[in-house]
Amino acid sequence: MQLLYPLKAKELKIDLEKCTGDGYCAIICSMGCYEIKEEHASVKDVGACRVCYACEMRCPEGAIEVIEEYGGEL
Amino acid sequence: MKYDIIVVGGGPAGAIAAKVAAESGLSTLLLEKMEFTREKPCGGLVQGMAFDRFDFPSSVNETFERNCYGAFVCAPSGNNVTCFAGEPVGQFVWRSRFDPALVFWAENKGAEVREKTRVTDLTMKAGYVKGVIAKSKQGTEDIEAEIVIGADGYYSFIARRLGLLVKNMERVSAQFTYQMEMPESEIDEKIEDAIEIYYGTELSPANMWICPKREGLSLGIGSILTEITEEKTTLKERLDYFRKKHPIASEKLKNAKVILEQPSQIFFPGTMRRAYYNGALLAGESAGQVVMATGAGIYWSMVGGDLAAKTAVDAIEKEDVSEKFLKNYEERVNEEIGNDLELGVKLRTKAADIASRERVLENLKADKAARDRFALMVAGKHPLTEIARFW
Repeated sequence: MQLLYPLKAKELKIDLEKCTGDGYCAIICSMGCYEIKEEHASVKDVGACRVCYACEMRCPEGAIEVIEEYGGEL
Repeated sequence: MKYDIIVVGGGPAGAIAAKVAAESGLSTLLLEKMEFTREKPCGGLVQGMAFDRFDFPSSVNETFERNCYGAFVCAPSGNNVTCFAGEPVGQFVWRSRFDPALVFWAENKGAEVREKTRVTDLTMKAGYVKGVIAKSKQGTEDIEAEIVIGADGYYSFIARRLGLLVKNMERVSAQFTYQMEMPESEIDEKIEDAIEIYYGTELSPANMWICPKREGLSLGIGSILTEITEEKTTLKERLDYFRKKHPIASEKLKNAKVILEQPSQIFFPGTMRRAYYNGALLAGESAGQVVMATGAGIYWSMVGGDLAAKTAVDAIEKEDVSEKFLKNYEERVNEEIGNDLELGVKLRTKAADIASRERVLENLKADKAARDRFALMVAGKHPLTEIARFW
């Protein structure tokens, strides 16, 4: 059995001016895309992102933007 | 190119909306960003009410993988009970088969369908939605419509683009889902024909669920965004612990093999300012048409899609696609499923603490009639409102 879910991110943008390093993104992301480094969020693995937007939704500061990769499956 | 109606999204809400619009004789275009055989981060329980409300063709019925007779419920203590109705009260499906069958139904009624086509923007004029910008391998296209129906799921692009989305973290849950393979005979023996619900613990309050199919299952965990704070483990880590270490579930799942992992969200009522705009409507999860108590949404989203299309048909006939006219949609939704959606929110907060979850178990164990009602509620055979008054 094969099941498809071809969603990928091109970029996970963090606005460091807004980011307070609270770490919600790192906890909400099950794919391990984020880590907290020097009191700010940092992207660890953009390739693991499946574009669920939970990080963007959870960030109280609105500091994250998920840029979806359109090319892959088109 | 111009259509009467463009539906964005090929899930249950979008497919039903396109089917109803096309059936009414309107030129209808449905756009889906992925290939239709995509799997969704979903348990795939089609509620019993859907069969009573929609007259599915055999091509849809053929995608039913397994009957759902009710639920197996397990409290944090391990105390558990099986609530079976006397007859099937729902059906389990793979969304990768069910959704295309619904879309094919819409196509048969005259809708034009394009997959692997993304809506990257809306075209606007004088405060009205006038169409979409659609991108595919063939290029970028400006397509006009009288009404655009946004059935594009959680964190809807259409809703965000129109400023209708409310960032209400208490009404959104984060999910993690595994789609798994498992021998049919083993599912028959260990899981049977029911949804399994495992209430979370004090340490990890998120609930886990199993939805069996013929030769596989969906396994998931979900938690309201604001409840994922103090714990230092992700939903995936908690679900892995559950499937490997839970005294009851690990035994059932030991030969289940992961074939797909999917993070996602669920948007519940209260995540939209409103579900209509000049020249546009929202249907399904993009409009928060999901029952918060259970996280189930297929039936309610299909009703949303049906009512959105009917409202759009009326609006086009009356040549009035203004918000003022389309507000009618809200009234129709409230009348048919408003009470269910509202009650779903109330019930979710009621059963939030551990003591009350244990109490639910005790009550179910003590009372056969309560078990029957629980089975009907979880499988969506009857409206929530009909059942909840017994609680």
